Amino acid sequence: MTKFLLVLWILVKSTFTSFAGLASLPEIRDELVEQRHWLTDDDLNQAVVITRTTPGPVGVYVVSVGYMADAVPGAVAGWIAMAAPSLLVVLLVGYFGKRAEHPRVRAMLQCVVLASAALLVLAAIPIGREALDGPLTIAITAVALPLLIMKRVNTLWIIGAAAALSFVGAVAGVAHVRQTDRPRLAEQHPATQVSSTDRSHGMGLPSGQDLSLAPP
Amino acid sequence: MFARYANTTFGGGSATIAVLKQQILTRRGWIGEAEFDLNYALSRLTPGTNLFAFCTATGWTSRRWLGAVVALLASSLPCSLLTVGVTVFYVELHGSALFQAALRGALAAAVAIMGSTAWVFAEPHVKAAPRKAMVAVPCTVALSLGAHFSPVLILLLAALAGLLWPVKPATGERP
Repeated sequence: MTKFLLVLWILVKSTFTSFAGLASLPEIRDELVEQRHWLTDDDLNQAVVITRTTPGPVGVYVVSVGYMADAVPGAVAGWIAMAAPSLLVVLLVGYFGKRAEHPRVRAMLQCVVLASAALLVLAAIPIGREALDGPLTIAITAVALPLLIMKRVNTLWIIGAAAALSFVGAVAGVAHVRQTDRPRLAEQHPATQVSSTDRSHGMGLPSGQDLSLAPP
Repeated sequence: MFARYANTTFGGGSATIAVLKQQILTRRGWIGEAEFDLNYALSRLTPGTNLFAFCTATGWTSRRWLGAVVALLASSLPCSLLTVGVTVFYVELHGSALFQAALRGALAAAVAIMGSTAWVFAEPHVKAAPRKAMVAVPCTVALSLGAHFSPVLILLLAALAGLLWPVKPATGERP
């Protein structure tokens, strides 16, 4: 119980003071790897890789970290820490919602959405560098982008078709198949540096990170 | 809706929000464009994971606290359980070349999703306020890549700029 509460406190403290997917990583690393030695850099690295392997936001890595630290109770602590800050948005919506028609608030929303869109494009660049490693994956992106913009095709179909194509390509020997021995994010890009790279790309996706997708 | 789309989309939170926009705004009309913008912008300024903040805000806009709690649980629980499952079986999955190939295909699609998402979000504002777009987008790129400002700081500066550069009220509209 004590360990559960400690894990909960560490993760809650980290998520309430960060504003993007992996932005809490340096603080979590400091507490769980450096100070308490409950996890290793490889464990943290693995947690980040797992969130890229699964659908959903990258912030879910906190649940994986919690599980590694204290099994199921740790995963519960991770989920609480991940979900709880979201409730703060209700206060913001309650306040700004009443003033949404004010010209200054409307302009504020316009500017934030425009800046967010630009940050999103910047965040796609490192993912593109990692994922677009051959003709097949480049073709997938080139076909999917206009389909999504002009035809508004459901993304589930796009993702399913892309995964199936790449899988079939690998089986048929068309796509490049590679095996990685183990994740190396923490070794090559220490988690303590993630916040600085994270800042440069906006969406909690450090540039150049090895998420088991880079060439060995 | 939140359980279905928030837990099945690759490409991160914003890509998922774009899918949710298509479903809850365009197809079902649960919230309006202005409410969507409000929820999206404020979710980017909330600590933690932006997607869950967006889902909570949208749930609250539709059905107040009940909607907020249901949206938060539906969007965060299934992907958390999936993450625990993958954590348990990670070694086996990570060692599979075919799994890795399928994952790379999904990530290639995610790149396209993120690009289209940026356009889906920006398009109405580029049309409504082209001058703001011409200032906000290059400034964001410069502050992010050049000055290495954090995203939240850039968004706060964007919010401040918006407050100082208000929308012109339409004729007959009270400022």
